[in-house]
Amino acid sequence: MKKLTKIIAVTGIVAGLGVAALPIASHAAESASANVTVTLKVSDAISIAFVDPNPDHAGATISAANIDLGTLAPSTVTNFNDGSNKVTTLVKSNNLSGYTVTASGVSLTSGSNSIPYGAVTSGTSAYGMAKTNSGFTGLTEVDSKTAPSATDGDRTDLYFGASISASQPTGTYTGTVTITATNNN
Amino acid sequence: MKKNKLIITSLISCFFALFFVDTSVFANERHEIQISPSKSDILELKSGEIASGSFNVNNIGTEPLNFTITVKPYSVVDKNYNTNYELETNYTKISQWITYTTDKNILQPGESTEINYTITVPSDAPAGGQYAAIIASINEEASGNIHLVGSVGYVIYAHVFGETRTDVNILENNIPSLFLSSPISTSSLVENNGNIDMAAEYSLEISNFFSGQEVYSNVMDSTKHIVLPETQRFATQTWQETSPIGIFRVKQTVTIGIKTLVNEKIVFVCPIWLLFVIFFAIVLMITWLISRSRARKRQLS
Repeated sequence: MKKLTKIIAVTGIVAGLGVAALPIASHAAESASANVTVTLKVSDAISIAFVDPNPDHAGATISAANIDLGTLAPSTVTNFNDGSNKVTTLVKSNNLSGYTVTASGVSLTSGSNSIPYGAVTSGTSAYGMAKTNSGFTGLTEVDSKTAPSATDGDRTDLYFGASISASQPTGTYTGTVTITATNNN
Repeated sequence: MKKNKLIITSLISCFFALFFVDTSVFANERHEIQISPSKSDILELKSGEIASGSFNVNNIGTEPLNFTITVKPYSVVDKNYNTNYELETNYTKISQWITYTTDKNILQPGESTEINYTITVPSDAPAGGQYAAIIASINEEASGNIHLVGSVGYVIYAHVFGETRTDVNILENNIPSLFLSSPISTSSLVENNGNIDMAAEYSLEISNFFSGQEVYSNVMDSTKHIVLPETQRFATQTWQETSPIGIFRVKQTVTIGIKTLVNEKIVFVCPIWLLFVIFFAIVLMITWLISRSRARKRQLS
C-alpha cells in the first residue's frame, strides 16, 4: 500500500511537471514556427548618362556627348533648327530627398584665344547652354528635384549655341562642360 | 542564271541581317556611371587625426567604362541649395585634406570598384563643419567643339572637433489659404548662421475640415534636411494625393536646433471654374435681391 502511494505520488509529480511544462513546450513550438523578420538596407545611389541625340539610335545612351557647333562667321549667332545642338541628360536617383544637377563650363580655346561660357548675344563671343533652343547662357543649374527620380530616370534636354564677335580670331575652338549630379541631404 | 539569283538573294539577306544586328547592338548600348552610397555619414574629426571611408563606382551600362576621380569643394549657392564645386570657403578646406586610392579606372559592364578615401586633418584645422565632394567622371575621348562630361558626386559631411557656434532661425513657415488646383504644398525657409551644419525637420498634418479626420501626416516619418553653415534653405512639403476640391485644416511644423515654428491654417482647394460658378451665383443672388426689393418698393408706392 505504501509502495502504491509512492508510485502514485511520483506519477503525480511527473504528470504535474509535464502539465506545467506544456505551455513551455507549446511556446517553444510557437517560437519555432514564428515569422522570420527579413531586413534589407537599400543604399542610396545616383547615376548619370547622356542620351544619344540621334533619333535613329533611340534608347541608346552615350558616355560623353560631343557637340559640334560647325563653322561660324564673325558677327553671327548659331541657328540650329534640327536639334543637332541638343543633348539629353539621364539621371537616376533613389534618394528620398532628391538630387541636384549642375553644369560647369570652361572657355572654348584655340591656342591663346578663347570664347567664354556665358550669355550668347549678337556681337559678342560666347557659347552657352539652355533648356530650350534659344536664350543660351552660362547655365549652371540643370535640374533639381526633392524626390527620387522616375524608375527609368529623369531626362533633361540641353541645347547649345554660340555667338562670335567681329574681332574673334579664326581657329577651331574646343572646351569641356561638366554636368555633375549629387544626391541632396 | 539560277546561280546568280542565288548569290544576289544571299547578298541581300546578308545585308538585311547585318543591318538589323547592327541596329540592335547600338540600341542596347548604354554607358552609365553610378556611385553608391552617394554621401557619407557625418564624420566626427579631430585635428591631427586620420579618418577613412569608401564608396563604390559601378558600371551600370553595357559598355566598358573609363572613369576619373577628383576631389572638389562642396558648397551651395542659393536658398534652393543649388550646388557649387569650384567655390572654396572656410567650410570646404577638407577638399585639400582628402586623398583616395582605387584598384582600377576601367570597369566592365556590371563591374564595381571601391574608392577608398583618407582624410588627414591638419593640426590647425578650423572647428566646425567641413564639406567636399569626391567626383567620379566618365572619361571618354573628346571630339567636336564642346565635350560634355557626365559626373556623379559623393558628398562628405564632416565636423571638426572644437569650438562650435549654433545660431539658427526659422524665417518662414508658409501655408497658402487657397489652392486653385491640387496638390496642397507648403513651404518654409530656415537659416543657419553658425559654423556647423544643423538638421532641420519638417512635418505636415492635414485633416478634413468637416469631419476632423486626419487624411495625411508625415509626423512619424518627417522630412529632414541638413542646413549648411551660413546658409538659408528653402524647403517645400506636398500632399500629392490631395483631392481636387475640399476644405482642410493644415498644420506645418518646422524644427531646427532648439527652435520650432508651427503654422496652422484652414485651406481651400477650389478649382478656378468653381470659383467662377460661386461668383456667378453670388451675382445672381444679389441681382435677384435688388430686383425683388425694387418690385416691393413699386408695389408699396
